[in-house]
Amino acid sequence: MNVDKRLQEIAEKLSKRIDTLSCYACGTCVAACPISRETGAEIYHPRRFVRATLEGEARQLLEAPELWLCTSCHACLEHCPQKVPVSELILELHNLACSLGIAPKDIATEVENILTSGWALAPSESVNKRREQLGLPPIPLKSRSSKDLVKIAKATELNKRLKRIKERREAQAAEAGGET
Amino acid sequence: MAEQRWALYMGCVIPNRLPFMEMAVRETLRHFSIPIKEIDGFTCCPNPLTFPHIDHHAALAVTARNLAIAEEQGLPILTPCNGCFEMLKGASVRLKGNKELLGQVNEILAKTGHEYKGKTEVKHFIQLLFEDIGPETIANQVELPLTGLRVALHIGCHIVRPSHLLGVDNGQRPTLLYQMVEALGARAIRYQDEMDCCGSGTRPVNRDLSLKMTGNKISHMKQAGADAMVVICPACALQFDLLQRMALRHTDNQDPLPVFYYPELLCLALRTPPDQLGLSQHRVKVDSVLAKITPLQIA
Ligand code: SF4
Ligand code: SF4
Repeated sequence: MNVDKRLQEIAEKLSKRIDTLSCYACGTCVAACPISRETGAEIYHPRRFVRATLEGEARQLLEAPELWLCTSCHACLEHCPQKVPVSELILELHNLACSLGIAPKDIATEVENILTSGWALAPSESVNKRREQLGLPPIPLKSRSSKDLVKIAKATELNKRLKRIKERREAQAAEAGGET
Repeated sequence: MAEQRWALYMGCVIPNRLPFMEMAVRETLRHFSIPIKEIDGFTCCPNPLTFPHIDHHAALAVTARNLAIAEEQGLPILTPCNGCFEMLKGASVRLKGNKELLGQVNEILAKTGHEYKGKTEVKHFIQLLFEDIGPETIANQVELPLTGLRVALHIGCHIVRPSHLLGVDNGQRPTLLYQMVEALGARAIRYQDEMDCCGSGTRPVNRDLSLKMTGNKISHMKQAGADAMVVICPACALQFDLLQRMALRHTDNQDPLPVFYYPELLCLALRTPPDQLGLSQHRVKVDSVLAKITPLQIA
C-alpha cells in the first residue's frame, strides 16, 4: 500500500465533506474524548489528527505513540457537529501505521492469536472447570474454523502487515541489544 | 414471544472468561421461550479493539464470514456482547447498502468457500429483550422486585455508537438500559461520566490509563449513591469486575461495588436462585446486594 497516496486520498475526501475552518475552531471531539480528559489535551487531542490529515502532515503522526491511546469509544464521531468520522480516521491511520510495521505489541499479538485459535480469548482447562461447576458443557480447546481466518489473512494485507510489525520489532530489539 | 429463531453468537469473552454470564443468558432465553440454534463454525467477531486496527478490510471479511454462516442457516444473529454486536451489526449495515464493497469482500471469502449475500440481520440480546418483549411485559413478570436497589448504569460504547450504523438508541444519551433497570423495580442511577468508555479499549496499550478510567467511573457511581452497577457487555464486566481491585488503586475510594450483567438482575427479579446463576464466580462479592433484595429467601 502506498501510504502517502492513501493519506492524500483520505484528506481529499474529508476536505470535500467538511468546513475546515469551523473544525479548526471547534474542539467538540476533544471535550467528548475520555482519553483527552484523562491525559490532558496537550498529550491526546483528536482534532489534531483531523487537522494534520487535512494539512497533509499525517505522515509524522503515524510514528506517534499517542495515536494508539484511542479507546475506540466513538464519542468523538457521535458528538461532532459536522459528522467528521474522527474515530474512523484514527482507525485508518492505525492501518497505515501497521503497513509501515508500526503497532503496539499486544495488539499484534492478539491478532496473531485470533488467527491461530479462532478467538481473541481462547478456551482453557481452567475455565472449562468453572463451566463444569455451573453445569455448562466444556468448550473444545481447538477451533476448526481458524484455518479460514488464515486464508483471509493471506488474501488481504493482514499477513504482510503482521510480518512487517514483527520485523520492525525484531530490528528494534537488535538495535537496543547492540547498544548495551 | 415471537417464534423467530436466532443463531446464538456468544463470542469469546463470556464462554471463555465469564461463564456465569452465559448462565444468565441461557436462563433468560429459557424463561421467555426464545428459540435459539447453536451453530458450528463461527469465529472471533473479530475483536473491534484490535483486529480492525491492523487491517479493517480483513476484519470486515472475517465478520462477513460469520454473517455468511448464519445466512447459510437462514437465521438472524443474536449476541449478548457489545463488541461482537458492533462488528456484526456494523458489517451487516455496511454490506447491505454497498454492492461494490460486498463484491470485494466476497472475493476474499471465496478462498474460504463461503459467500455472503447481504441478508443477515443482527440483534443485541438486550435489544431483543427491549424491543421484542419490552419493559412493560418484563415489569409484569417480575416476582421479586428489586425495590430500593440503586443501580448505576453503564451501557457501554459499542451498542450505541456509531449510532448511524447500530441504530439501537441515542448515541449520546440512550434510555434503553434506564427503562430496563427500572422495569425490575430497581432505581436506575445516572452519573456524570455515564456515557464514557469502561477503559478496556486502551488496556492493550496503556494499562494504567485504562484502569484509571475504570476506577474513576466506579468512584463517580459510588458518589451518586449506587449499591451496584449494571453492564450489558462482557468486556465491560471484565474491566469492572475482574479488574476492579486494581482499578480502585487509582482512586481514593477502595470500597468495592458489585457488578451485574443485566440478565443476572433480570433472573434475580424472576426469582432464579443466586446459586443457580453462579453469582459466587463474580470477583467482587455480591452478598451485600443479595441481602438487600432477597431478605425473605435468606432469612
Ligand atoms: S468535533 Fe468535528 S468539527 Fe469539531 S473539531 Fe472535532 S472533528 Fe472538527
Ligand atoms: S474514539 Fe478515540 S478519539 Fe474518539 S473519543 Fe473515543 S478515545 Fe477519543
